[in-house]
Amino acid sequence: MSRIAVRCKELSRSYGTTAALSGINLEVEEGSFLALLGPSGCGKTTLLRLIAGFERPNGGVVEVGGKTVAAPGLFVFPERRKVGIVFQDYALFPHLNVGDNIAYGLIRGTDRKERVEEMLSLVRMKNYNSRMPHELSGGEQQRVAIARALAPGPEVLLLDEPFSNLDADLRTRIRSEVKGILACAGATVIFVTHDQEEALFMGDRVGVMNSGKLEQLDTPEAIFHTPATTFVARFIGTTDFLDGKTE
Amino acid sequence: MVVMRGEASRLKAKSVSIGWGAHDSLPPAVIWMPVLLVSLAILLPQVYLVLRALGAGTEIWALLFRIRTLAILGRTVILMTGVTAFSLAISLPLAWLTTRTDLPLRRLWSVITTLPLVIPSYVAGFIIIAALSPRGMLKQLLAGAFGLERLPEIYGFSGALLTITVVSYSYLLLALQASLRGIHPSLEETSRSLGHGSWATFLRITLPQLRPAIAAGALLVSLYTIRDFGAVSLMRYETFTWAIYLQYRTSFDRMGAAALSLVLVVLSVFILLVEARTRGRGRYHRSTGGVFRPPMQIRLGRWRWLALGFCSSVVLITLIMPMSILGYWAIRGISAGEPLILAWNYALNSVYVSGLAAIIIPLAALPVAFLAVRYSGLVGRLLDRATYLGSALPGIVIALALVFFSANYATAIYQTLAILLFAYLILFLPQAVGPARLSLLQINPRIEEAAHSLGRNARQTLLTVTLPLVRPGVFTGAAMVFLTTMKELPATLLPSPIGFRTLATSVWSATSEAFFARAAVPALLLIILSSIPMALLVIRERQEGRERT
Repeated sequence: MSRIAVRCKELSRSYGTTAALSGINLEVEEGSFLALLGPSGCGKTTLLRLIAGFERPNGGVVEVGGKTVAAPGLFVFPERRKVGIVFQDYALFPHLNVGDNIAYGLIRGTDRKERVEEMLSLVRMKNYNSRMPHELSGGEQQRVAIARALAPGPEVLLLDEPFSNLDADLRTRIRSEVKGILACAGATVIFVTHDQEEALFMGDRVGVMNSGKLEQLDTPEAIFHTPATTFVARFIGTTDFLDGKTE
Repeated sequence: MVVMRGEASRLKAKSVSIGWGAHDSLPPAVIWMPVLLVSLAILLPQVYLVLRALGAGTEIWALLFRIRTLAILGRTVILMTGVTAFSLAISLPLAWLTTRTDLPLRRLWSVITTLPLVIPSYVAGFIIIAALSPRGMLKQLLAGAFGLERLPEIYGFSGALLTITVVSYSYLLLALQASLRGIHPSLEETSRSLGHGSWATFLRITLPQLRPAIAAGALLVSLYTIRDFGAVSLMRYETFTWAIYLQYRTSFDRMGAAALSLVLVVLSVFILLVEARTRGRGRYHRSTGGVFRPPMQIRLGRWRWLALGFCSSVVLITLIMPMSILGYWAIRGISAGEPLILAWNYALNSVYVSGLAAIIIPLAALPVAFLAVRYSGLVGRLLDRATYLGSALPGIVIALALVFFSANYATAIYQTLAILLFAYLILFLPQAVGPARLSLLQINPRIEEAAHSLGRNARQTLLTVTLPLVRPGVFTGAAMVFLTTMKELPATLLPSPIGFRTLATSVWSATSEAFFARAAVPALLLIILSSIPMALLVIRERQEGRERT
């Protein structure tokens, strides 16, 4: 069995009296894709931010690469976690060119240039080194953001609604392109989406979330064919329901 | 005000692109006639000043050389740089602490650090002199307690630097806060996830994004500094405004004053142009979509105490100390039998001229605003621009130009209320045009067309539909004009009728003769009276906000 890259135990987070997340347990194996699926406000982005270290949990444990990064009385800052993130708006640094954006997370003195070139060829943007972010299309910006996040070799890559900023007809093509790039890099990925088809296509495993709880965590097939709760069944697709009691 | 103008032109651009509200045809005479009159009136004294100075021909160079223009320019630039640097040193930490950290009472700090904006520079100057001058409070206190005789000299550069920084740093602070709130949190979060701590993230990501805001805010502060008359005159630091006044008052050397004015105008216009350029370039980054969420909050931990110490010293120095010193001298003045009736008369004079200005100027602004919004042709644009010229010129220059002009060509109005109001019109017209224009932009011309279709002619429509809808903007403009007229010093000092004293001029002259107890009551009255329209504006804005939701 391969190594566990991310583990959450009884993770919870609340704002005031409202619970955004409660009792989340999950494990992500190295090199695998986990899709977090749910309607807006279900807590999936909060979960991502807790793993990245942008917010502090109220209870529970987060482990990244075998090290505990958040637990009662313990909090590791995001810059020490080795967690890469790609935001919905890509968040490219507007004052740096493509190469400097990718080099931003690399330690000085190492072969930064080589690594930047390597990442550029991974995302198939070899001649874009000195372009500025505003000169790029949406899809190109996204690939730079992925290259930048992957460059320092993170334990896990987090993607927040990665395709929602793209046109519908582009989305399908770019989706498989990104999946190819990430698989090629051997990255461990957790990504958040509200699009059922996207989750089933991208994820090795899919976690369906609803009001701060993880309803089911399983393979796409299992989620589709044997939904654990009515919510999962309703959210995944058009299913006919039979009310009844088993005896 | 500058901000508001930017807002208006952006809105204007929008309405034009939508395709309604703008005609390219020539406006009717009811509109262009008054605008033409207003803009000619505004341009006349300024053109006169230029001609007068240029009329000296080659003599002007000798003149500028004789009065050590270079030294004055040097002092002005040094003061400008000093105030800007000092303001940045105060504003940058304040802005960061109040937008990015868990500093206790963040909201409160970010509100009260902007309050010094309402203190006129000569009132701040008076307070600082009253506290720190050789005859001031601190000196007496220290002399009594420790037998200390010498204090650092407050007159000159250090006094001017301190005074102007206190009253103008908030411009920079507001620009920085707005920009920090506008930066999308994902940028800083990405930097953190890529292995950089909060300090490195600030230096490498946040600060570069702030550059346009720093430039814009610094230019506002610079502009304030080179135009300020109150502080530099009280501190006897000879920058352009004070040198112009001295030339005019002591030697009756009108050529010299006009020549210096021209140099100041060039400097002022230069800064305005740079400001317009930086504003035009705008932000590097427009964040697209996404739900707004507050940025990741940085925990200060034990640094909290240092941060709180910093914020409270700023508030102590810029607000609490000045107000207590003012209160102390006011009480001393009253108990020493300073004639309150005098201060009361000054207050009545101030309210009287400011009230007149607040009626006349918004009325003159209406046709200008109408022209700017509804007629975007070349003529309309030119006339509109002409009315802005006044706001590019420092008050002392306009005052001087009007005094010269009226003394030579319009002796009937020389040193009358009329010429005083005329000076205010030139200076403050844009403040009234701005809000009126915003209100007009919010009126859909379809509403007017509906009135026409119901049988009303153009005049009736204007009276029954358009004007009532523009009323809020006119009201806002009137309040702004009232406020700034109350505070205006140089444009009041020079063209006023002999013996006509307002709160502003009486504070100034009492302070320059070191009668602190005499200056305190008018200064206090001035602050109280000018907060009334400010409070009205804030209350009305709140109400409107509630109605909308």
